Amino acid sequence: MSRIPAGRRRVVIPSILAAGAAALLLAPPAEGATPAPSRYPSGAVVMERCVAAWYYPGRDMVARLRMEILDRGGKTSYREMTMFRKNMAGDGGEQRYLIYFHEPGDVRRMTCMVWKHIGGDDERWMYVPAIDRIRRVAAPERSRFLGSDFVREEFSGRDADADSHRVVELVRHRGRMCWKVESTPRTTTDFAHMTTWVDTTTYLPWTQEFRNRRDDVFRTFTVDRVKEIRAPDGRKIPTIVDRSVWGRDRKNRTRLIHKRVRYDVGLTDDDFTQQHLSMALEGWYRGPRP
Amino acid sequence: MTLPRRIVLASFDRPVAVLLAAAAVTLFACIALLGIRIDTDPENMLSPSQPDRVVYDGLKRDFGLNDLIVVGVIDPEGAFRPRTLAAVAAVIDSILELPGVIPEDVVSLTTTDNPQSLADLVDIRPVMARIPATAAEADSLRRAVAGNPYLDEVIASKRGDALAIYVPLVAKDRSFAVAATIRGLLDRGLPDGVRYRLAGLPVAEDTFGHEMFLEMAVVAPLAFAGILLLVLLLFGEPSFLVPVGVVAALSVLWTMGVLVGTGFTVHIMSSMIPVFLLPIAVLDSVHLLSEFQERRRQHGDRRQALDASMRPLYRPLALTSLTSAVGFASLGLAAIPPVRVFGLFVAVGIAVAWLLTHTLVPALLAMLPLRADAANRAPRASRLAPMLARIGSLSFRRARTVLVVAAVLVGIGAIGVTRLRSDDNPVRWFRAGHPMRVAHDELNERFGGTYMAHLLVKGNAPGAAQRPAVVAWMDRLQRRLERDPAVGKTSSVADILRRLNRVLHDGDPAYDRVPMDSEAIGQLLFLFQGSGDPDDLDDFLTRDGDRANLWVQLREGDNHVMQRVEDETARAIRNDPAPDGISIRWTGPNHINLVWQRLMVLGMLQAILGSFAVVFLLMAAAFRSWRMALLAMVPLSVAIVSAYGLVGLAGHRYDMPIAICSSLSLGLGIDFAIHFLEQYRARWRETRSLGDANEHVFGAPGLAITRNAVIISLGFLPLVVSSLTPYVTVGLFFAALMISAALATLFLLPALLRVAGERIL
Repeated sequence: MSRIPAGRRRVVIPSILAAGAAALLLAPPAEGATPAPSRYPSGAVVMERCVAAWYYPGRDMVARLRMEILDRGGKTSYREMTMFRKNMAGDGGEQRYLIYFHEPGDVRRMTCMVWKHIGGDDERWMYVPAIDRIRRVAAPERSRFLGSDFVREEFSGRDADADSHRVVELVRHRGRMCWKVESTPRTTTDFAHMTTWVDTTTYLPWTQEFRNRRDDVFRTFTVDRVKEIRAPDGRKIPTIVDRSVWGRDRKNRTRLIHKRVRYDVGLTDDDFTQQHLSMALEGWYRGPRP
Repeated sequence: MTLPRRIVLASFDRPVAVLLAAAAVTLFACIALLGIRIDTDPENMLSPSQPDRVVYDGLKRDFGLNDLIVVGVIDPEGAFRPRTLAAVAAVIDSILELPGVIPEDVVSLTTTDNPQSLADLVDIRPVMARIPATAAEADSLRRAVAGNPYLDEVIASKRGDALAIYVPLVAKDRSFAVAATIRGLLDRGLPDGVRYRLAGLPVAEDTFGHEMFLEMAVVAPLAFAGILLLVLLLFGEPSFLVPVGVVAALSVLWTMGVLVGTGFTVHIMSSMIPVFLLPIAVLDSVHLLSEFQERRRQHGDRRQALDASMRPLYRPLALTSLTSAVGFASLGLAAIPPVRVFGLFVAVGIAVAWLLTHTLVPALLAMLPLRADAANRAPRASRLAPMLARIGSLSFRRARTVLVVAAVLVGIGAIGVTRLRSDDNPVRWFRAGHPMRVAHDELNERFGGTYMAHLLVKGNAPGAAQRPAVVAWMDRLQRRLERDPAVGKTSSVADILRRLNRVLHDGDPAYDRVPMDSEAIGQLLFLFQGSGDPDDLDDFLTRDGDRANLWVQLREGDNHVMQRVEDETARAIRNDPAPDGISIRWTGPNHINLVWQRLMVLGMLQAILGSFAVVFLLMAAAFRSWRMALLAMVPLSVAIVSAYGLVGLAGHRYDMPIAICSSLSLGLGIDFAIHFLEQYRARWRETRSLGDANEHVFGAPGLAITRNAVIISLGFLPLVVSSLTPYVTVGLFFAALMISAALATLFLLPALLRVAGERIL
């Protein structure tokens, strides 16, 4: 609760103080004049880089995740999982995901696989150990992910060109210089407008607000910690390790913590198969433990 | 000179000052009234900390449940036609955008998931993800809905001629406004031949609130006009309309001004204050004017006439006002906040009426032109007078017969009283044939029910409510509940699990059951959450699985139906006890109504008994005699027994309006007896003759009593035409009460005094 308003208050400190080098570089518009959009990078470019920095770093990734769900009644539940990701092509291209659940006990060994396609519906499979069956699952992209406040797309990434984007200003947001990007979906979906504050340095988002057609903010995505993870080749990759989605009036929240993240562990296409879906993780994965 | 007399004479001597003062106070009251805030939620009958309300608020919070408007779209040619479906889908889209609506919890064709299995594919998408283009597609959609027990009769009728949309609201008091907007959307959006109905308790209650205030503007003035007309007929003096009208109007205005000005909301109950104050205010001024008119025939001078007519009235006026006020103020001890407010402010109004009768009426009598100087006229007996004299001598002479007849009537009344059944249903606050009643009838005939109750299943640990034994027990309980004809539909996590279990087993009906191992339950629920809209599950199970919500839709909203369902549940649980660590609790709008009815009936009964005792003590103190006090209570008791006996014999339910009326019975019932006994005893003390005292009270005092009985019982009859049944009830009940109180006073008291007067007086 406290973080965002504090950040917003800081926004009030005008660009003179906050913008620093960036402001010099971009020469802020004269008082009262409408900002010339041409002075800012194109919204599409910012969002494409944002999606790349957010969902595509490394060739592949393994992470141990903990999800904490705070429901409207004020109670928390949690899930522990291991997530594998492999990029099949470059940034913004096809990807494969595999998610193994460890806890709570009754869902242990449930596994979910996603083949992310560009320009078509993603394919999803779910392994249900209690009945020992793999089921292909069809559900809308923006349906919620595993009973959390996240939608599926926030696990596998929303295509940048699903919306039209416009950079509206350069602001200091929660202590960082950010591009404030206004987006409007190209086809009808659960939100009518989205505002993203994208870090001008890392291109990771700090806050995303989803508004409905009445222009009420009905869900908010926040990034609360970014950590630099060293890839095997020595590159330091800024990685979101703590993020949350908040419901209306911030009454419910799902927090997703990346406990350990490893890049470029050498996953192959064969790792993302139905066979591995129903196998215990230890049975096939020999790579570095996340 | 006593204080009241000084006030009366001073007011007569300085009428302009009195009028100006009254005008000033009235101005203030009107200014205060501008800040009026209206509250139409019957839930506020319970204080926010009342345990049942706390449970319901908890349920709403934990399961994200809210009060619903049920929108039914009826297409007599079948709702599953592309044109109708497209129109309904468009309306749903617009509803999702309305302020005051919680879009994510709307249950409808396009917003609720229907898990289906297609080969190896589990398809969890909204029932109607795409609008069918052909009749065949539309028909297969109909079959898909009918095939899912969880959706059948919930979002579509069995016959397929109607579709339902359940619209949750952020707050109940938005329902009238949201309903109006939805009506507009449907008016514009539906094809010809397709009609719609809006139902649900929140709409009924909020609509009632709005119509109530409209009716107040029509019916109260109508009753007021009726009263004035009767005053004119009975007194034959047009100028008397002014004091009667002004006292009544100002008592109401001042009281409501104080109520609003001190920050209280005008709730369903307090909105009835004006209707209750009218007769009381009228009573006082009619007693005075009746006396005054008689005296003016003897004294030519107005001042003298006023002084003479007030003398025998000071005590009875003070006593009746005091007893009525105490009677109502005793409601201040009730457990129901709006009843407290109602009681206290009616008491304030009674004080105001007393004050105005002693100040404004004399002032007006000093100024108003009165018809033909009475001194020049021969004393003209009212047409009522000879009849009254006959009644007086009859009940005096045939005292024993009168007593026997009265005893028989009281016996019959008592039988009627035992037949009283408390029951209520806010939808029945609308007259039969009212669109609200029609909507509920039509939708309850087609769907699982527009009345909502919830059974909260509470476990003692996370996951407790999703244990196989618990879910299977809930499933059995549901089947048992559904045997009740009033229970249309029940839904719980058991239904979701049965559906998923079957879908995951390729639609095999053998798997239409609750899985019997907890891992399977956990995983199916996880799959459902991970695939569909988790809000669908959140409505039935908390995320940590410690509590479940069993949603019961009822086709009938009467409280006795809810009571029956609760009793049946208790029986079922005795035979099939809840698994260890599980406790249950009823909640939801219909249960809340049951709770406040129980509190109201009991609370009103206690309040009445309490004020009965207080009035008795007051009488004993005033008359300085226990026997007189006992005697004074007789007509009142007889009136109450007969009025309620009548209600019981007529098969009318003891509902909210009747319960409110009971508070008035005391105040009105005692009035006549006090006036009668005061004057009777005063005369008896002068002459020591029962016969003479009897003849005396059947003169001017009897005339005042009869006039009052006629004015109030007939004056409130316009309420009977109201489209809201509480007003009808109040109108009829006033008449029954006033007539029986007048009859009991005029027949029973003379007879009793004849028999036992020497010992009592």
